Amino acid sequence: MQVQGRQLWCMGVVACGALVVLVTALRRGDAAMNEHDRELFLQRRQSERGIAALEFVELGGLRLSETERRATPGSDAAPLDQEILAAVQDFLQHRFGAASSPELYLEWCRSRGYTMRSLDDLRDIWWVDQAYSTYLGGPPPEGATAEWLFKACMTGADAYQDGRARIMGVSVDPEWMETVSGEVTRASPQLAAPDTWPVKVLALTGRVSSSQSWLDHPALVSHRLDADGRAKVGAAWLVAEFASGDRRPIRIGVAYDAARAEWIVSSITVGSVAGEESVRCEF
Amino acid sequence: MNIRTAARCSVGVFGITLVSAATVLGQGVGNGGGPGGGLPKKITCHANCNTDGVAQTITCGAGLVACCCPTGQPPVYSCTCSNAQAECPASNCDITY
Repeated sequence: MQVQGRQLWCMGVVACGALVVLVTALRRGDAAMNEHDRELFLQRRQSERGIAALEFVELGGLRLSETERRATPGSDAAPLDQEILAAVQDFLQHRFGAASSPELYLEWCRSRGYTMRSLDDLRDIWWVDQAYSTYLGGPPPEGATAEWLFKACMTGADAYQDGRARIMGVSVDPEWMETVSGEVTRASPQLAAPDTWPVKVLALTGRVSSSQSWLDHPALVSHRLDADGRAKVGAAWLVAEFASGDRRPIRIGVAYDAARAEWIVSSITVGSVAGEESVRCEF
Repeated sequence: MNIRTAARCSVGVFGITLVSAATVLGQGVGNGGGPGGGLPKKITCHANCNTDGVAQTITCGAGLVACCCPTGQPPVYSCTCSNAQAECPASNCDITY
């Protein structure tokens, strides 16, 4: 009996100790999670307030390449790449500008070396029939060509849901802009990005929508990697205002066309996507 | 004597089991895996994701996995950067322990 009593006492003490350790560990875990969530919440609020306070310049008067940001001691912020910004501005004005039309945009693209992808490829990687149905309320007509579908989708997308995917203006505040460029290879296909606020803002939105181009170009990463095993690519982070009034951080991916010594746009990524909503850009 | 020894052993094993469970649970709830210790986790993008290098359309930090998967209406690539310390959206990837 004496042994049983001592045994029970020991078990009780150890069990209490273990319980304390368990509760402490769970509380520490919970505190760590809350700390992470709290930091995320604060950064998101800072981002939302900052974006709400930004001024936007309509695309027609945009002079992105004149925006300067000088490197300051103790800051990660490097000077902005003026060539990338000029290419992005040119693209935005031709694709989304007030005077743009599918015909003019395609003409401009062809002058830069773009060609329309095949309809099979577009159906496979960019689900163009579903997009057409969403914008225009039914399947595309029999025999529709890729170019015909693009023109219909570009017009449809710009009007869809009050123009939620049509960029109307861009902030030129250099603190909300970032550019980066570098070389990627098959072994290291991701472009490293600086840990700066404009890059972080896009990541803060969580899930983002990434749009592919209807158009192909020999400078695109996949072609360059096939040909040379390496590609020179870049990106610009901006905050854009859409026709619907929404303001969202965006990332525009670019690739360097060495033959023409200029940057071409390869992708558009849009942040602040709520739930399953998507912001699909036709370009 | 033998009984006492046996009792101490069983208590000891019981205690260690509880402490181990607490440690694992604590790390799982708090930090997840990855750098800093805890459960090892692996992020795996779904099979239909990242076609034709589309994951390059976002820039993830070191150690983060980019998953870009078809979703939405109109359809688009929904992209996320995940690591062992972040949640992985069910539509994009799986976390395995």
